[in-house]
Amino acid sequence: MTTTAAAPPTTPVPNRRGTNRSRTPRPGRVALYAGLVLASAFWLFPLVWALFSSFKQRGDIFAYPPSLLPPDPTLDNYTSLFDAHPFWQWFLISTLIALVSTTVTVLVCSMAGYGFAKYRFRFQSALFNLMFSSLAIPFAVIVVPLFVFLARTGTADPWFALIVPWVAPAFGIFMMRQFVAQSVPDEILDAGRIDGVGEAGLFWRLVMPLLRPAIAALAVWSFLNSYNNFLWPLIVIGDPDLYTLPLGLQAIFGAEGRQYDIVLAGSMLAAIPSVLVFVALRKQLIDGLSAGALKG
Amino acid sequence: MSVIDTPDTRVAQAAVPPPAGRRAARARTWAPYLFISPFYVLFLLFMVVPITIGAFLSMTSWAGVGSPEWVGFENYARLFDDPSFYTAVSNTAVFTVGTMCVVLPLSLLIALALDARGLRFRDFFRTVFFLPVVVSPIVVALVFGLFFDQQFGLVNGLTQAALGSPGVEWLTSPFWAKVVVIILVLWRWTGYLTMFFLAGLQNVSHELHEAAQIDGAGPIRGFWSVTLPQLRPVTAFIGVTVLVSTAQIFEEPFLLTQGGPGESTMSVAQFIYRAAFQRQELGYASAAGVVMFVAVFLLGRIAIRVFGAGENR
Amino acid sequence: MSGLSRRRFLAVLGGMGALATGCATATPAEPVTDGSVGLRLWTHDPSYTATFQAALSDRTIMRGSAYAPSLEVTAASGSDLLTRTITQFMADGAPPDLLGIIISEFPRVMKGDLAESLFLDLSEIAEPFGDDLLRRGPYSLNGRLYGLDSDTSISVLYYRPDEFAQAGLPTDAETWDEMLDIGGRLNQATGKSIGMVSNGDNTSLYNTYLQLLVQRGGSPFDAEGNLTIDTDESVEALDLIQRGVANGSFMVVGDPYGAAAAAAIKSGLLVAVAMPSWYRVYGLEANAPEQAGQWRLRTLPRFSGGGHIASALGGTGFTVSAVNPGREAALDLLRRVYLTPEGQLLRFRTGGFLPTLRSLYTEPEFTSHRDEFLGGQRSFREYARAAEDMPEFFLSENNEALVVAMGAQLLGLYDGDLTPAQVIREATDSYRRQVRS
Repeated sequence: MTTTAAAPPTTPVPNRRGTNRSRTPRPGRVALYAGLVLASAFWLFPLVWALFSSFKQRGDIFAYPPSLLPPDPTLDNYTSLFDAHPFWQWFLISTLIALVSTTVTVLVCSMAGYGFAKYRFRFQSALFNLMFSSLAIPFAVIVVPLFVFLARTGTADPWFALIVPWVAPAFGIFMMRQFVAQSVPDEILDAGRIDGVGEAGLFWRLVMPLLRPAIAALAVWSFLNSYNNFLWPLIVIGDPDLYTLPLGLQAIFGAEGRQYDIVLAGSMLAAIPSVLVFVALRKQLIDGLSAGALKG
Repeated sequence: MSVIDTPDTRVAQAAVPPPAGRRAARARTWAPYLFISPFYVLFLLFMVVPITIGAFLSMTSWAGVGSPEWVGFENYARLFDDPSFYTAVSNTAVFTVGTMCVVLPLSLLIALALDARGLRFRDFFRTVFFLPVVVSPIVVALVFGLFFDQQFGLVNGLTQAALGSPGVEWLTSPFWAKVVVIILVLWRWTGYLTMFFLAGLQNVSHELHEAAQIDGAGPIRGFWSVTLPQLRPVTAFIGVTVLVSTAQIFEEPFLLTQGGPGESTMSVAQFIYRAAFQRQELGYASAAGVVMFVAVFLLGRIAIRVFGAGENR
Repeated sequence: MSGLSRRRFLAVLGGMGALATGCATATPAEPVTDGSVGLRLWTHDPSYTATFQAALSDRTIMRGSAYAPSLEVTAASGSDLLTRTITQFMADGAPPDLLGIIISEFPRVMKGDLAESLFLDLSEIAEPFGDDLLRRGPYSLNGRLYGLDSDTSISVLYYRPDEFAQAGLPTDAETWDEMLDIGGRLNQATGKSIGMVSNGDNTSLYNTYLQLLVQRGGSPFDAEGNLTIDTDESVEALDLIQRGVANGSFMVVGDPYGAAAAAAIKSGLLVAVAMPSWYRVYGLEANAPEQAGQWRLRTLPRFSGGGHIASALGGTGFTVSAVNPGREAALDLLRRVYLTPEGQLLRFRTGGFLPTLRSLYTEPEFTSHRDEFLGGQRSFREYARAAEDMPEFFLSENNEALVVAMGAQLLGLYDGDLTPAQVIREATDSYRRQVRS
């Protein structure tokens, strides 16, 4: 993770909510809370079910009539996960790859987004279209040629292949372009140029700090993308010790007995890093997106 | 929605010319290429070669090993004559329309609710809606398969207990299976999109809103006349990306029903996957991939125009 | 496009294509002929791994081998392994030495010259066993044998005698007609069922049909890979399904291996089920351990029209790489574990896999086995009868198209909207549309 992304927000979140006047509860307010609570129940229930089920014995998971709470709670699913599989290794590899990818992605996308937003240059439109077109490339078609190409050129090493080809996603560039156009005033750049700051210096010293909120947004997106990827790691990684989490969980599930009890336990733990990244960045995320997305 | 770009999407061109010398001017000419070059270097290295090979394969018959056999446009002719492909296209259209018409508005609605003044537990609600995207797809499929099972599923259990209605064939009727796929998309992605809307709402001017209220506009009219126009750029940004990614939807229907019953939830992306990895017809899969690529790209370009998002000039 | 420019276009693209798609190894590497050799084993199931590992340290199995193999194991789900094998072969010509292919995935390698390029012909090591070796049909292609099955996956009828006794119904019905009669009465009286059919994904739906079709003596394809579902056997299998669903004998369940089936079994609503041998572990015991001792197994009731008292569903064929240096060593190991009585006994003890050599079903090592989950039943008495009457069937490279074609139509059969003849007609049409090229 970039240090900028992990740093606490320097600008406080606009706090207009603090100024709310106290009112007597209105029907609208009651409806609001009722609606939110109901919606949360819809969203939360499957997850709670999964969480509780990860503490059930296998035979109880699909008991009928169903019960939400484990009738006979057990940690067996977790312990057999740890005993039979290098779970923490998968966990570490996934997290590490996602963190490195995220860092590089953020940098590459910020640069490209800045380039598209703040300069006029020849072939700009064509280059933008080319970049945008990569959003539409069907992965299933290129996955085999890409892997064969990497293998023939000797770059199919998992660490390389899982990170390098994917650190310049069009989504991120598109998004950063929007954000730069919105939140970086031309005046700042011109003033910088008058002061003799080079083009690289402008980007690094003037633009990047302004982009911090957008970086957080992109970081969450990028982290999830890398962390949850399945098909590509499947093609690239052969050694089970180097599996990523989705790959490892799929392998457990793919065994003859469909060990959903163990998969449930693994998935609950696997969700932790993503949740932490989200929780850590969510304030900046809100901030970042607001400025970035507001500009059409 | 307006087809015309708003003026503020244009980058200000009236920049003051830099007073520095020729070197600085030249640097400014070259700088954008340097900034965007990492993308194009990676694109050239890792995308152009596979894409070209993919395009080449689309004109061959190839099972996965040995030399591909040149067949010209035969794969394309077969594709446009394949009822399964049209089924996949129409299924994908249903998912896309469903997502755009249900998931987008709902995420906006939830964002509005979360943006309500003085809301308690805001952080809690926000996190709850976000959580589904971090859970392993295997577990998602497991849980939804269990909930929507016709005989033992919770959903039918509840409706039977509450309404006494006979169970719905959630996953086995071509119609309901599509509905469940959209419900799954809704569950997984609404919270994620809500974040984007919520972000946009942070900058909606409340002065305007209050002015409208003083003018006697109710909350609903206030939303239409004040909030929504200001939110248009966000909606556009999300609209374009959601459209482009839903047109390539794969995971949700594949996990839930494997495309069934029959082919009634098979998406175009699954059609390609099926040809490539279940039937070893890599040439045919590539042809379908090329067609999907062109279609999605054009769709994306049109969406950018229509929404007026991300245009360069 | 003119001939000349097309040729040039081809040359340019062909050059690029060759870089990525051309065969990596024109000639296979020289095989290692003795000594220590590292073998890569890819399989979806840990039980196979355990079997091979145990075999390596088993003197009776490895006695006299010229090789001292060691195993490097990769586990992933079945379809993923095959995808990876093909990709890996294209990339560096080094697929796994031993690959376990789930039977439903095998049709993929029947396409083009995949099987021939990737795998050794095992006919030679299988030849001495003649008809004694079961399960050859599905892994055969153009007169060659590419896979040895790990299990015979004999389908039997699992049932709960207590439930039948309570309802005053017999458990020894000879034919499916009698069985449906019993099932109908049981369902009338108690709401319980004596079988299940799937309405889940296409594969589960198709398997419902396949198991009965094969029992009746049919096969979805002939040995040449031609579609052969338009037969009397096929009509009878479908008719049985339809009648069973209609009178409540067969419960309609989404996923026969997942949540719905588990609920049906645990709740006691399902008191009998026709399933392969492996279902005892993965379906019954895993989901309802508390029902230990309550279940028994018997051979399947026959069709009045003919056929067999056994069927099969599932299986995993092990293949040997055709190009790797370790191929002779892998072949030797596979033969020792999969084609010797010692190996098959080890396989049974390690993972519960039934012998694929018919003659072993009457050997005391197997017949003396008592199954505790089945109340101490000597299950091989039933399995032996079944093994003597195992049907054979064939697959085709277009298997997946049939799975899809059948899937949707079977739902109409359950509902009574389609007759068996209509199902066959519609499925045949759909199949032809999909495979036309």
